[in-house]
Amino acid sequence: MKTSKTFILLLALMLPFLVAARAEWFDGEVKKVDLKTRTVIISEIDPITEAEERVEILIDDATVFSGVESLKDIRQNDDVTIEARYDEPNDVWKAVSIEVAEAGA
Amino acid sequence: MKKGFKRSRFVLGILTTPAKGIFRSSYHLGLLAGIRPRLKAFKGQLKVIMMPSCPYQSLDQILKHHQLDGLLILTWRWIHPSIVRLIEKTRHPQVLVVNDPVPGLRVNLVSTDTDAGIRQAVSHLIKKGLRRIGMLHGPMSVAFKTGKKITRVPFIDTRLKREGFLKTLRSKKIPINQKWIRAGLANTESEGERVMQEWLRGKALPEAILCGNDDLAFGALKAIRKTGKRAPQDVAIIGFDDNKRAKKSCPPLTTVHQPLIQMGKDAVDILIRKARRPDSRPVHKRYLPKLIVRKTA
Repeated sequence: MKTSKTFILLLALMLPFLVAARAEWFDGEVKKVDLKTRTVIISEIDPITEAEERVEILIDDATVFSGVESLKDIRQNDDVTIEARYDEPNDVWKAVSIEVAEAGA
Repeated sequence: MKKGFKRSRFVLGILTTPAKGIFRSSYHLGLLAGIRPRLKAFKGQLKVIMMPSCPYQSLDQILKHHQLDGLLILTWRWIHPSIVRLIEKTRHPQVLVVNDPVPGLRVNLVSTDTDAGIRQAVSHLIKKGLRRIGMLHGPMSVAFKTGKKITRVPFIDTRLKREGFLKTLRSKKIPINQKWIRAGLANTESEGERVMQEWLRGKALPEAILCGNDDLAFGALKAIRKTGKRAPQDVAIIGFDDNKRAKKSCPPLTTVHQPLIQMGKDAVDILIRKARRPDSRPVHKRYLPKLIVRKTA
C-alpha cells in the first residue's frame, strides 16, 4: 500500500516533466490565422540554413495566451513562440501556450 | 606562405563539391557542428576547398598548395571524378574521408554503420507486425560532365543503404517486392514527394517505407497527407539522419540518428594525431546509429 502511494506521488511529481518532454517549441512569423478551424500557420526560418518551414498549429480551449487575449487578436506577420504537443489521434500539433511578441505594436 | 612567417596553427581543409548551398544541408551542418568547436579548441583554422575540376596530380599537391595539415573529404562522390580517383589511389596519412566506406580505401575514415541503422529500422517495422516493406532511396549514381564526356560515379551511400535493406529483408525472411523499391533523382524533399505521389496513384502500396534520408521522408509524408492518407496508419515512414526538422514534422518522424557531431569531432582529432605521427596506420572508425522512434512508424 505504502509502495503504491509512493509510486503515485512520484508519478504526480514527474507528470509535468513527462508532458514537457513531449512538447516542442516553434518560433516564427504568423502566415495565416483561421478562426473557423482555430489554427495558425507559422513560418519558421532556420537561422543557419535560412530554409523556411511552415507548420500548422491548432489552438484549443486549453491553450494559454501571452501578449494577447485570444486567437482573434493574433495577426498575420506577428512573431510568435508556441509550445506545442503532437496530438496523435488528430494528426496535428496542438498549442499548449502561445506568446505573441510586442503584440499590438 | 611568406618567407620568415612561422605557421604554428593546425590548418584543416574540407574538400567538398562546389554545389550551391552544400553547407545548408543538415548532414553537413551536423558534421560542422562537431568539426568547428574541436578545431577552435586546438586554435586551428578551417579552409573550405570546393573544386569544380581537378588541376592536381595528387592529394599531396592539394595539401601543399593550400598549406594544409589535414584534409577532410566530405560528400566525395559528388566531387570531380578525377579527385575521386586520387582519393581511391592515395594512402596519404593526412587525409580523412567521411562516410562512403569503399572497400580497399587506404586513408583515414569515419563512417556510419549504415547496415546497423537499416537493420534497426526494418526490425522495428517487423516487430510492429509489418511485412510489406518498401524503400525510397536517392540516386544510384552521380553524373559529371567532363568536357564532352559524361562520367557516372556510383553513389555509395545509396548503394549501401539499398544493399543493407535487401540483406536485412532476406535475413528476416521478408518477401522482396522490386516494385516497392523506388529511387528519387536526388535526396531531396521535392523528390520524395514526387516519387511518393506516383506510388500513391498505383495499387502496389507497401505497409511501410524506409527512406534513404529525412528529406525524402518529409516529401513522402507531404504526399501522403495531400492524398488524405496518414502515416503510420496507411503507410509507416522511417527516415535516416535525424535532422533538426524530424521531431517537429507532422507527424514527428521516426528516423535513424547518425552521430554526426561526434564524427566531426573525431575526424579533427584523428587528423591532428596524424599530423604529429604521420607514420601510424590509417584509422577506420565506425559509428553505430540509433533508431529514434517517434510517430510515423
